[in-house]
Amino acid sequence: MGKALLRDNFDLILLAILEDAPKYGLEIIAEAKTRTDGYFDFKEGSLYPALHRLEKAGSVEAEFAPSTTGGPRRRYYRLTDAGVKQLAERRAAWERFNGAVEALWGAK
Amino acid sequence: MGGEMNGEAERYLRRATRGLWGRRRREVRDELEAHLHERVLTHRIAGLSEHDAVERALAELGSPGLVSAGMARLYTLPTVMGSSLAAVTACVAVVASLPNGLAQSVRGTFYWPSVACVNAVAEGSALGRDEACFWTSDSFWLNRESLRRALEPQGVTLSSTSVPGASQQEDGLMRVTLPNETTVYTPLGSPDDYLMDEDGRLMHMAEGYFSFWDLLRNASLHRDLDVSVSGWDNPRVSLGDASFRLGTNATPVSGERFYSAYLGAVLKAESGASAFDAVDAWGIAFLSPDADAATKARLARLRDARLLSTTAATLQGAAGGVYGVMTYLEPDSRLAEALLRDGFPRDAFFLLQPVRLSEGGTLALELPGGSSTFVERFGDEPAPNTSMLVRLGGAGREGWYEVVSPENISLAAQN
Repeated sequence: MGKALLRDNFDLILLAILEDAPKYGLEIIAEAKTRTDGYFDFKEGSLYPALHRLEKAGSVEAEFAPSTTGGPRRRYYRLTDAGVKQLAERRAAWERFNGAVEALWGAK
Repeated sequence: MGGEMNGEAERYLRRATRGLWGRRRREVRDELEAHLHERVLTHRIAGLSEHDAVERALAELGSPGLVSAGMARLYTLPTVMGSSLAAVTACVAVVASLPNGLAQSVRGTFYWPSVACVNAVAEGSALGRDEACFWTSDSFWLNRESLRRALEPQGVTLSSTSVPGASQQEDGLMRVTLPNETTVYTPLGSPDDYLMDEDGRLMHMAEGYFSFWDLLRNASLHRDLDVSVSGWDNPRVSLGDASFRLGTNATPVSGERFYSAYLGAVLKAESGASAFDAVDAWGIAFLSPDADAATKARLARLRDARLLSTTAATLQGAAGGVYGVMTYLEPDSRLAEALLRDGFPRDAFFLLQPVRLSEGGTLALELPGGSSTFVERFGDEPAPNTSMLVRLGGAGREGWYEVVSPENISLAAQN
C-alpha cells in the first residue's frame, strides 16, 4: 500500500512538472527536488523507468533532441492529451482527499 | 569523456540496460549516457576531478539494477506486479490414445512467471526456506549452494571463477565439473542485479545465484554430455550421471509454471541476434490460473466467443514428452485486445502453452486465435497466427529443446 501510494504521487509530480513545457531527465529531477523542497528525494536512476512507464501508459510522449552541451542526444518528455486529462483528474482527486481530511480535523 | 569515465560509466550503462535489446537498448543507453555526461560536466565545473565527478554522478544515479529492473518490467515480459491478470485456459487438449482406444484429455494453461522458492536438492534431502530462488520475467534463478549440496555427493565439484582477463568487479562464473571431467560454466548473478518478488518488492539478489536456463543451455553445448529435464512437477535435471530435482515438498515447482518459463527461454533463444528490433515488438504473455473472479468471468466470455478453438493440429508424439506451443497472435485479435486491456501495451503477443504427453500416441492441439500455420523458425518478422512446436527437456544429445518439423504436424480445420 505504501509503495503504491508513493508511486502514485511520483507519477503526479512528474506529470505536474511536465505541464508547462517538455523537459528531459535532468531538468525533471532538478525540478522535482526543488518543487517538493527535497521531500521526494530519490535515486536519480529510478526516474527513468518511471518516465518510461508513463510513456507506455500513454500519459507522456518522448523524442530525442540534440544536446546543447555537445554530449549525447537528450530525450525530452511532454504530456499527451491523455496525460493532461489524467493530471487534472488526479489533482481533483487529491484536492477532494485533502478537503475531506481537513474537514475531519476541523470538526470538533 | 576521459578514459576513466569510460570504464566506470561503461559498466553502469551496460548493467543498466541489461535485459533490453536492439533499438530499445540503444535508446535507453543514450538517455542515460546524456544524463551522465551532463552530471559529470556539472561536477567538474564545481571543481571535482574527472574521476571524482564520475564517481559522484554514478552514486547519485544509484545502482544500475534500479534502471534495469524497472525497464525490464516494461519492455520484456510482463510481470504480476500491479496489473490484473487475464487468466485464459488454453484450449490445448491433449488426446492420448491408449492401447484400448480410450482417450484422455488434459487441459494446459498459460502461466505468469512469478516468484517461487525453489531449492535444487538431491532427492530425499531437505533445505530450509532461507535459501530462496527467484523468478524474473525470463529466468529462473537457483541457489548455488543448494545445487552444490545436491551434486557434491555425486562426485560433482562446484567452484567459482571469473571470466579470464576480467577485473574483480566483473560478474563471476560458476564452474561445474562432472566426474568425467566435463566442465560447464554458468554466469553468476551480480550484486547489481535486482529482482522483483511477488509482493512487488525489489529484492537485491545475492551473488550466489545463477540462471537455470544458462546452466541448461551451456550444459547442452557439450556434445559428449547427456543433458535432460524430465517429469512435470518438481522436474528432474540430469547432467550425465549426476542429477537433481527442482523444488522440494515444502517449496514445490509447478510443472506448468516451469515449462512455461522454459518456453520463454526457448523463444528468447529462437529470436536470436538477427531479430533485434523484432523482439521489441514482441510480447510474451504468461497468464496465471490464480486469477480473481473478474478475470475468470472474462475468461468465460472469451471461451464462449470460441476464440481459442479454431484449428486443431495433430502429431505423433513420443511417450513422456513435454511439448510447447509458441503462437504469434494477430495483434488485433480479440484475445490480444483482452490482454492489452489488462495493461500489456504490446504490438503483438506470443502465447506459450506447455503440454505434456503422458502416453505415447497422438497429440491433439487446439490452437488459439485461429492459428493455422506451423513454422520451423519465426524469423525476423513473425507472421500473425503462426505457431512453433518444440519438444522440451532434451534427451540424449538433442540439446535442451528441439523444434518439431512442420512436416510431422497435420492440421485439420475445425469450427
